[in-house]
Amino acid sequence: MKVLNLHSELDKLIKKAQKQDRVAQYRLYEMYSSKMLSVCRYYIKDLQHAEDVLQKGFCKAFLNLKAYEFKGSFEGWLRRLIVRQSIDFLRQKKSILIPTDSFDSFPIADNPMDEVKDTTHIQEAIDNLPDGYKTVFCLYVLEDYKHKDIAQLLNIDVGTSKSQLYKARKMLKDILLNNQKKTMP
Amino acid sequence: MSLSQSEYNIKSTLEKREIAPSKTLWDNIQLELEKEQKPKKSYLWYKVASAAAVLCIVFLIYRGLTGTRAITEQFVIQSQPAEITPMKIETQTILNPIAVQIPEVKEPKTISTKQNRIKTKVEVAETVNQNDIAQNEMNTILETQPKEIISEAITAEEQNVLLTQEVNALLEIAMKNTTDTEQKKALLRLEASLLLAEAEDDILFEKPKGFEDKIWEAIVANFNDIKNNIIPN
Repeated sequence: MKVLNLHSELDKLIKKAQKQDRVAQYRLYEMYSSKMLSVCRYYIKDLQHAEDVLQKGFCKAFLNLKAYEFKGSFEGWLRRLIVRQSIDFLRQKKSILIPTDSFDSFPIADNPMDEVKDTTHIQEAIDNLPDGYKTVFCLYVLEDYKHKDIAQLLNIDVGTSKSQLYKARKMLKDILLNNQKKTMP
Repeated sequence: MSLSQSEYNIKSTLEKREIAPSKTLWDNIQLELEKEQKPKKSYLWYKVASAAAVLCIVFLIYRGLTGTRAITEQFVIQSQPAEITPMKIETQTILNPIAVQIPEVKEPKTISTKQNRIKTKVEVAETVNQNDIAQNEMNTILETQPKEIISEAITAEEQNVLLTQEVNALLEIAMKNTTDTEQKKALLRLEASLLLAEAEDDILFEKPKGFEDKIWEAIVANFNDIKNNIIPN
């Protein structure tokens, strides 16, 4: 019952926000801004830039809120919008330079990350990845995108997406191993 | 390719993470939203204004193209009153070419009545497109008018005779000088109305003199006395 009530309340809030009700929009912002900034932070190393992207993303979301048809979760809709906004930012920065090498099959790289639970270390490792690798890795691992969707979103081949993921995983493993070595006494 | 355990761990760890944005971020979003919404309104206003301007221009162009046609139509409309006005004057003045006397009851009895009547006749003559000869004759009549007024003020009979003579002369001149069939028709209608007026006069002439007639005669008599006193001086 509580879940249903929460859903109906959220729907009411969204409907009000669709009519450009600032209070409703602020409430939605309060609910999702922290999570969405975390999403932006996957792709954008600099927090200030991530905030700029979040600002643009929220503006776009509120201005185009009528496009949300209450099919699927609002969070998912907003998250996809924020991800697209982050990728657009990287494109504008021209930092996504993905090589066109294509591999049909890649073995799963051994990951030394099983024991890693500290978000700061993980984020630092992801930040050290080149933007192309990082984007594909985050889309595939963190956003559950398929290679086909990634290829369409980034305007690359499916094979390229796969190769980028393989390289990202390998590089991330190396980074984490190095970090472990540094922290080891 | 599926996710390894380590990747699941990364995913679950990062999904729980929340980063609080700076406090000014909402203000910036609000400002940007207001900025984005305002130009849309003005853009809509510009759209409406430009559409109205285009409509006005189209209308003006259309009017410009059909302007000559509209002017010709106006001429036709203006020509109608020109034909009707003489007829109105005919019925009001009730000029009789044959009748000996015109009933004074229908007109204000002032010294300038005669002059006004002649002026109306001039207007009638002008409307039926009289030529220069007729104009000159009318001018001579008008020039000699004060003398006639003085003399005709004495007797009403003489006045009426002169009036009828003048009207007949004007009609004859107009008939002679006009070539337009429509104008001739108008003159014929004028003659017909004069005949009707004659019949009316015959009826009214038999009436006994009323109080107004007596006053009029008294005024004329007084006027003659004053004139006789002034002229010798």
